[in-house]
Amino acid sequence: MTQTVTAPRYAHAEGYTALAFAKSGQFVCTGGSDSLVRVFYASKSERDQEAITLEQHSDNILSLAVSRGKVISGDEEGVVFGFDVGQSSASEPDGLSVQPSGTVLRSTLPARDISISSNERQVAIATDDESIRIVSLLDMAMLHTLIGHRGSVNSVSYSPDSTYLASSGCDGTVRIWDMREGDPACVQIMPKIAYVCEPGNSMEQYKVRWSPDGRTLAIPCADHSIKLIERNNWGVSALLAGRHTNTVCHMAWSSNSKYLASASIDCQVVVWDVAARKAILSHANPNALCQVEWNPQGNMLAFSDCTGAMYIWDDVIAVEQGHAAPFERALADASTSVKDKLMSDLFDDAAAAAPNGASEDGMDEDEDEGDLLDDGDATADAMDDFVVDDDGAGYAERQAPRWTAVAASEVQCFQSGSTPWIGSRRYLAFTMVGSVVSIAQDESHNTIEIEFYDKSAHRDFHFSDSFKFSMAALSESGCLFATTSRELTNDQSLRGAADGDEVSVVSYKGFASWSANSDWTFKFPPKENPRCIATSSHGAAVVTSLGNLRLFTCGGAQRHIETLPNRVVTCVARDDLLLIILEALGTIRSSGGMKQLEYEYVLMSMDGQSRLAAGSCPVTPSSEIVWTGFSEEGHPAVCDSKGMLRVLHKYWAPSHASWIPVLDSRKLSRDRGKREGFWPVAISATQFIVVTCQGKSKYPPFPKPILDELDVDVPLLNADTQVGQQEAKYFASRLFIEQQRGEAERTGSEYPGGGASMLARDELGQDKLLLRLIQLACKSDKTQRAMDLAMMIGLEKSFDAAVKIAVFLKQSSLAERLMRLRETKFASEVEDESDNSDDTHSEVVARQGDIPPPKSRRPAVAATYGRERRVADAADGDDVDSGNDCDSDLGVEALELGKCTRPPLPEVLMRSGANTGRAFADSASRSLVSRPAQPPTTSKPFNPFGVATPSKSMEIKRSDSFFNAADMHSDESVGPSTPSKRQQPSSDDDDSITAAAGMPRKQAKKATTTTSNDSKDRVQPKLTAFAFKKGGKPTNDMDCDLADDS
Amino acid sequence: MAITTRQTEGFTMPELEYLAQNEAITIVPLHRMDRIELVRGTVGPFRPPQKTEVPLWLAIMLKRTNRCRIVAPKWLQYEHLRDLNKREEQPDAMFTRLPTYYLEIAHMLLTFAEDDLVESQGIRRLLQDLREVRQSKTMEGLRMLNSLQLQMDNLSMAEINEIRPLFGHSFDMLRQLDGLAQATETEQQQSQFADQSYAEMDDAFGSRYVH
Repeated sequence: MTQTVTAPRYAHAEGYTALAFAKSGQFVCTGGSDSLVRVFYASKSERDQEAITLEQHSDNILSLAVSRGKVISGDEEGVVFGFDVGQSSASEPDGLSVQPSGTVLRSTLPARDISISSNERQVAIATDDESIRIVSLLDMAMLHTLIGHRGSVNSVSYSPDSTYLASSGCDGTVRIWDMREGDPACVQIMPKIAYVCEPGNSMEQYKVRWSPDGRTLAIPCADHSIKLIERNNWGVSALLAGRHTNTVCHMAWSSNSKYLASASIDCQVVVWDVAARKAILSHANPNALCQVEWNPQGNMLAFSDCTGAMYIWDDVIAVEQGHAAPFERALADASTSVKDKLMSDLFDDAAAAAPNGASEDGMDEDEDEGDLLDDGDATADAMDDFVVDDDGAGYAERQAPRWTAVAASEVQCFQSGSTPWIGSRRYLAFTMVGSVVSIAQDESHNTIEIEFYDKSAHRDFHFSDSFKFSMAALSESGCLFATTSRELTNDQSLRGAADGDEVSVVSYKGFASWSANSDWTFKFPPKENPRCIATSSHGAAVVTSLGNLRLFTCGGAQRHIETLPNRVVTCVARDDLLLIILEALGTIRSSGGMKQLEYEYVLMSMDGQSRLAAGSCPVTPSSEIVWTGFSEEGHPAVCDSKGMLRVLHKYWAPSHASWIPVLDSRKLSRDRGKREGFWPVAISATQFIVVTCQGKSKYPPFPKPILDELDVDVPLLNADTQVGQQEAKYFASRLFIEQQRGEAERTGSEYPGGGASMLARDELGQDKLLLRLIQLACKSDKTQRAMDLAMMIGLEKSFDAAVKIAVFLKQSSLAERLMRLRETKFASEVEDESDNSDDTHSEVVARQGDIPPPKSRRPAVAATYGRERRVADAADGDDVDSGNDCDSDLGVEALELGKCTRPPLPEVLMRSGANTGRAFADSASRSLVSRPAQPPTTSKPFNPFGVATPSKSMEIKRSDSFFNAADMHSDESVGPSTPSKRQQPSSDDDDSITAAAGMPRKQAKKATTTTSNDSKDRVQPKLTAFAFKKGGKPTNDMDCDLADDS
Repeated sequence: MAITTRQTEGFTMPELEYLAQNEAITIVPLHRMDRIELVRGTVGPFRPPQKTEVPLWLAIMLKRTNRCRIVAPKWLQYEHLRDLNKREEQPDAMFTRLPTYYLEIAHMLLTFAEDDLVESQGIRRLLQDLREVRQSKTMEGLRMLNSLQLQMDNLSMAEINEIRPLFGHSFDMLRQLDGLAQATETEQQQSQFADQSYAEMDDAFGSRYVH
């Protein structure tokens, strides 16, 4: 390639030569061993003009920095001078005048590097002693001395927003200092990241440099490569290697941060394309190089070598060949410029500090700085608010183009539940099934340990792993392992082990014991490496670097292959579903180092035959996905780095899928007032299962910690009030039921946990929450709200309870309206229901031919209950009648309640039992999956009475109100399965509900007292219960029931 | 309510441990099991690795057959005990709040589930310290015994048990002496009061052992 590098311009005597471009690109300064500073015009036409020579120094110039109005140079004696740059005369606008303005610092040791902060108020100077000096440019006063480096400091670099200062020492340590506070503090120490150089040897004194967009720091390191460090997490984001054969001593970023030029002692100048991580150009120089600089406003590089020569390389980047220009051509908007100028006059100091004070005038040196700093996210906090506000619309417009799309090769993939190496161990997978741990042994192999939570299902085992697997996915039926190429991983241990002809391997270990050899292994073709893997009981999936999605059966048969966009971030599987998360095309990064990632998801079947849902997968702004998985019930779920957990709801219904936030774990830890992180493991309908990480650690420790459970808390408004909490509970319960029903529908199976009766129970529980809400609304006279809530009620029985609540709380107008609503709502529904139930019945019969149709079952059910034949016959004769039946029952019941009489026990048992039985039968037939009702003698799972054993039959009497019946049900069958739930209902709730349902207040009060006693002593109520059963005093028995609940 | 000889003479440590076994404790089951119906109520279902709460005796039974890991209660963690010790050692500090059966539970956990406790040796040491500090405080507190009442909040079962024989007899004796000394109306009131507090004491540690 023809490179237009100018002939050497011998600016200085032989020796180290420093170099710096003006921000305007108008001139370039050099300083050399003849203790002179020279200022050259940069543009082609003026290049040959005489340079301005400044003879202030008396020793070798080692460092130069140029800002808008100043040139600052440091020499080997430790003297740092400042020069003012101005226009020489009005008639000759391009003419420069550079006048010495004074000494900035006098140090005893050589000044190695100088960096001027973006607001031009401070300058950081690195000297050969162990400290960094921060000097105010306004009055040349020493502001701070940053002490921390052990050994000479050889470079300093302000981040473009002046938030951070990076410095490096001769011992290879790089430190990051937070400069925002009054007292700068070291926020990050990276020991031995750069190479160790000999103090005092000017040629070897490498420099670290911030990219102008502020998100990356370039550090030359020992193996002649350049590390790019990401801002804020300070991790190595990329490595630029393979070109230099000797120490890299200086680097320069193009002003749009797309390219990096590096100069090395090996006489090469190399230009790297940062996004592609590769060298695109290089230039060989006859002599060892000292410094290299980009022209901030042009496609031009300047570099200097040890002979004191300065070279200029024009048109470095071949823009016409599709490369982006190395600088941004900002179109100067005259009006903006005027406005900004005005503003900078008005707000003098603040405007100078804030980037939008910078003028956009093309000729002005401000422009570049303005560009760098306009990013809102990172710098907003450092700016004065009023300036930002004043700027108004113009600011937003200008900000937009500074987001740049990120190349696909940067997609970082991860496995949910894996960690980086912690010491010599790392978790490869961590699920509810168990964990897979890799233990580093030596060069040739690691050890893999698989540990299960359920020891009864599988035996823990470990094996020696000669492939050095870096990924694992665990399911209850097997474990899938894969290696990946070292380019795709930051895993240090793989380096050296894998070589050029590396071949990736994917291997499956089945846990099934009946099959003799259920393990299988596949080798991938060269250049195709697994990026992420997933496995479930239905098979295994591997997404490769070529974008291929390969699906296998558990036995190792290759079932499917398809090509996905090569942006896959992670994938996870459960049963027959595979969730794939991709980085969306809209992913952008701001110039402040902030990422704004956007994601897409694809939910497909494990056999690759169908796609259930696909779309965008939202995350909290400027966060990324850190975990994906399925809930125990089957909701696809995603947790982002801001701790927000979302589930994909209605994935079973095409084009209805939506992401619903269910828990803000960050807020939870804030509320707890503790500094703890949650590392996601799994999610169920009610709980988010995590490892709680104390303090700063982000990953679970070894040995395997005990999991913690966080209750799901939908972030609804007013979460601190009772209403808000109830609403959140109702919402969560609705999500759960809808999902269970949807999943059952999708897979064609029964509603989990025992078919229709479970569904009915869940629905009842849901209505109960609604009724509590209605009660709260009534209490605060929010009748419209109560009305709205009543509309959401599903079961007719619950609706009646709502009416009762309204009556009890003396909301007569509401009660009236509810009655009217009830007539319209359930009258139509009853008719629908008869149709529906017919349909479902036939469905059921079709599927399970041996079960007799429910119509013939009905009388049998009623008869076993001991209910009057009349009702049974009526039900048998016509489904439509059922509504009326219930009505009459209720009427009777209401009467009884009104009189507050206590009918003899058996009667209540019969009546209320029949009532609940009907309610269940109704809801069961309303649901899509019908299920035969069973007589109460088979206590589980169909149990309309809540009568499990004869000893508990006393509880029936409580069903004289709806709530108690509901309580009873949920406590009987929900309680034990989710122990935490059982503890939740406070005695308060129970009290109010019973009171609302018309129970005499005295009793309710008594109930509460018993409840509180119970917490002290649990044996007592049981005993009394026994006693009362003998004595047959129902009142006290009721107390005991309530006590049991809590 | 009648007072058994046991209640006046005190229990043995194994007896107290037996009583403590009814306390609830959190475990992480290692085997999947359905819920178990017990006389006291149902426990489970056990779905590893989800925590569940069971009576201590069941936890120990499962632990011995290696079917669960016991989650150390918060008060039995090293840091927590250290803090407790510090607070307890401060002069004039009241008794810190601990579960009624803390010594018994700790003893059983240290015996049967030592591998589930982090820094079990340290915990042993701290418990020993804690016990000694509290013991000396109890003795100190006994000096305040009068014929009316003796109040020591947050005393645990084992600690009460230690002073029970001495306390019972002394208290009775004091009351008798007091009764002899004063036969006025005020005395009557006082003795009523004393009766009352005695009954309260009964409630606190007596009522649950009704057989």
